[in-house]
Amino acid sequence: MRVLAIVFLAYAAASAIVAAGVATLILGGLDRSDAFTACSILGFLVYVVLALWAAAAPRLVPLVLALLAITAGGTAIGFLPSLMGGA
Amino acid sequence: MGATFRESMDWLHTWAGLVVGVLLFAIFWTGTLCVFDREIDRWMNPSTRIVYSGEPIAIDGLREEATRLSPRAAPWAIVLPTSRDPVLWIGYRARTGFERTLLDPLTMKPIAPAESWAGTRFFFPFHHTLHLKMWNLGTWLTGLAGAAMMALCISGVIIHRKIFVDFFTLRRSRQPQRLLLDLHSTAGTLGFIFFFVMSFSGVTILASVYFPSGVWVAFDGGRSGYVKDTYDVFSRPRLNQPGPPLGSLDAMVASAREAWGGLNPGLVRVFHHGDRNSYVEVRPSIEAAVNMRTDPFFFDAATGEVLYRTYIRDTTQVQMFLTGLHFTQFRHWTLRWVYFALGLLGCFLIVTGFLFWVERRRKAHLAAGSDAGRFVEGLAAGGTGGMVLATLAFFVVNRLLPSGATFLGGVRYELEIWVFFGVWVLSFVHAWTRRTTAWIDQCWVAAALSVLAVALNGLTTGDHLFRALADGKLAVAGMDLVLLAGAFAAALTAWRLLRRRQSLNEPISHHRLEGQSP
Repeated sequence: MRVLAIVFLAYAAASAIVAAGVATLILGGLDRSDAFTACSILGFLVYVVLALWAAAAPRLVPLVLALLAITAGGTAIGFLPSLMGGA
Repeated sequence: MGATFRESMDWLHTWAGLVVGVLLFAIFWTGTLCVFDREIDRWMNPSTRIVYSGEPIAIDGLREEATRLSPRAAPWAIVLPTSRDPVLWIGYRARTGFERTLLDPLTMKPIAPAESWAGTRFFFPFHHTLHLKMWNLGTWLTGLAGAAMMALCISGVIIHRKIFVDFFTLRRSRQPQRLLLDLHSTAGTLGFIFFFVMSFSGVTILASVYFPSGVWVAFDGGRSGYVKDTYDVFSRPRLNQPGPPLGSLDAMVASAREAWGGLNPGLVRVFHHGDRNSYVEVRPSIEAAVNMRTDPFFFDAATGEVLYRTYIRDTTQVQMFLTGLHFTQFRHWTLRWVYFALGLLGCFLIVTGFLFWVERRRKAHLAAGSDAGRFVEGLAAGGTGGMVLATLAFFVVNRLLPSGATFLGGVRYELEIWVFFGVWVLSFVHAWTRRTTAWIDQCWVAAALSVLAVALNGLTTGDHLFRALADGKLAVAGMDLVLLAGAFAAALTAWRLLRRRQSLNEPISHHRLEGQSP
C-alpha cells in the first residue's frame, strides 16, 4: 500500500497540481503553451517531493487521505473553469 | 519507511534502488552508448563510413529523384549530412512504410542501404521506450525510472549523517562491504549533478506525455493542440489542383541560412508535392547549439516566397534547452567524452549499489538460509554484465551476418536485435546458475567479444584501426579503441577477481566480489 501511494497516488496528486497550475495561469492571462510548459516541468519536481513525503510519512491513512484530497482539489481547480464555460 | 525521516529515506533508497536498478542500468547504459550513437551507426553500417567535413551541398539536383521515389501524396524530406552523420538521405513513405534512400553527399550517388538499426534506431529508442510499444508501457516505465533516479539522488544525500566526511572518503579497505559503500558514495558524489540533471531533463522531454492532465486543461485538441501551439507549426491544406513545378530548394535554403545567421539547414521537407498549395519546410541543423532548435521557415514550393517563420516561445526554449542538454547533439567533442565518462560512472554507481545491497545482507541471509542474496546477485550480474554482453554480441553479430540475411522471417536488423535480447536473457540464466563465478565468466566473455568485434571489423570491412585512422574515419577508429580499452578493463577485472578468489582459501561461500563492470 505504501508503494502504491508512492508511485500512483503521488503521481495522481502531482498531475492534479499541474492541471490546477495550468488552469490558474491561463486564467491569470498567461499563454496556454507557456502555462503548460512551465507547470509540467515543475510537475516532475512536485512528484518527486510528494513521493519522498509519501515514503517518509509516519502514518499511512492520513497520508493516503491527504494525497487523495490534493488530487480532488487540484482536479477541481483544473477542470471546473472549463466546465463552467470560463477560461 | 522508518522511525525517522533519515531512516525512511534509507528504506526508500534501498528498496527503490533494488527494484528499479536493472531498469535504471539498462537506461543508463544505452544512454551512455547514445552519446556516440552516430559513431555506432558508422561502425555497424559500413556503407555510411563517408568522410564529410561540411562542404556546401546543392540539392536542386535531387528534386526529380525524390519525386520519382515518392509519387504519392505524403510529404517527403531531404535530410542533410553533418560530419558525424555524413550521409544525405531522402525520406519518403512507400507502400511498405517509411523508407530512406541514402546518398553520398559528395558525389550524390546512391550508396548501399543501412541494414542495421545500430545506435540511432536501436539503442536510442531502447533508451526511452525499451522497445515496449504496448500501451506506451516502455515510455511510462522509463519515466518512472527517471523520477525514481531523482528520488534516489535526493534520498542518497539525506541518508548520510556526516555528509561531507562520507562523500569524500574512499577507504582502500579489504572489507568488501565498506569498499563498495565508499565506491558507491564517491561515484554518487562525483556525478551527482549529472545524474540529477540527466534524469530531470530526461523526463521533461516528454512532459506532454507524462502530464496529460495539463494538456487536457490547456489545449482543446489534446496533444495535437499542444504540438501546434507550442512548436508554432504552419500548415495549409491541399487544394487538389495541379500546381507549377517545385522551385529552387537551394534558393530557399540560402534565404533561411541568411536569416539564421549562417546556420546550416538540417532538413528540407516538401508537403503536397505537385499541388497548387504545395509548400516547403526548411529546418536548421541541431548541431550548432545546446538548445534543440526547431524554428523552421516555410516557403511556397513554386515561388520560394516565405509563407511563415516559426517563432518559438521563451518558455518552450527553456524546455528545448533541457532537451538539448539531454540529447547532446551539439558539436563539442570534449563535452561528448565527459558525458560518456559520466554515463559510465552512472553505470558503475548502479552496480556498486547492487553489490552493496548483497554484501550488507550476506551474513543475515546466510544465517537465515535465505536465497534472496543469491537472487539479487544473479539479478545484478544479468542486469548489468548481461546488458554489456548483449551489446557486444549485437556488435559481433552485425559483422558476421551477410548482407540481406534472413532467418525465421526476420530480416538482418531484426536478427541482430534478437541476438541482443537472446544474449541478455541467457546472461540472467548464466548468472543465476553459476552465481559464484558469474562475474568472472562474464568479464572474460566481454573481453573476448570486444576483441572479436574489433577483429571482425578489420576483416569484413578492411577498416582496421590504422587504416581507419589514416583515412580519417575517426568514428570507426574511436569505436575500435573504446572496444579494446573495454576488453582490457574486462580482462583485468576478471583476472583480479580470479586471483582474489584463489587467494581466499577460506571455506565455503566466502567469495568476494568487486564492483566492476567492463
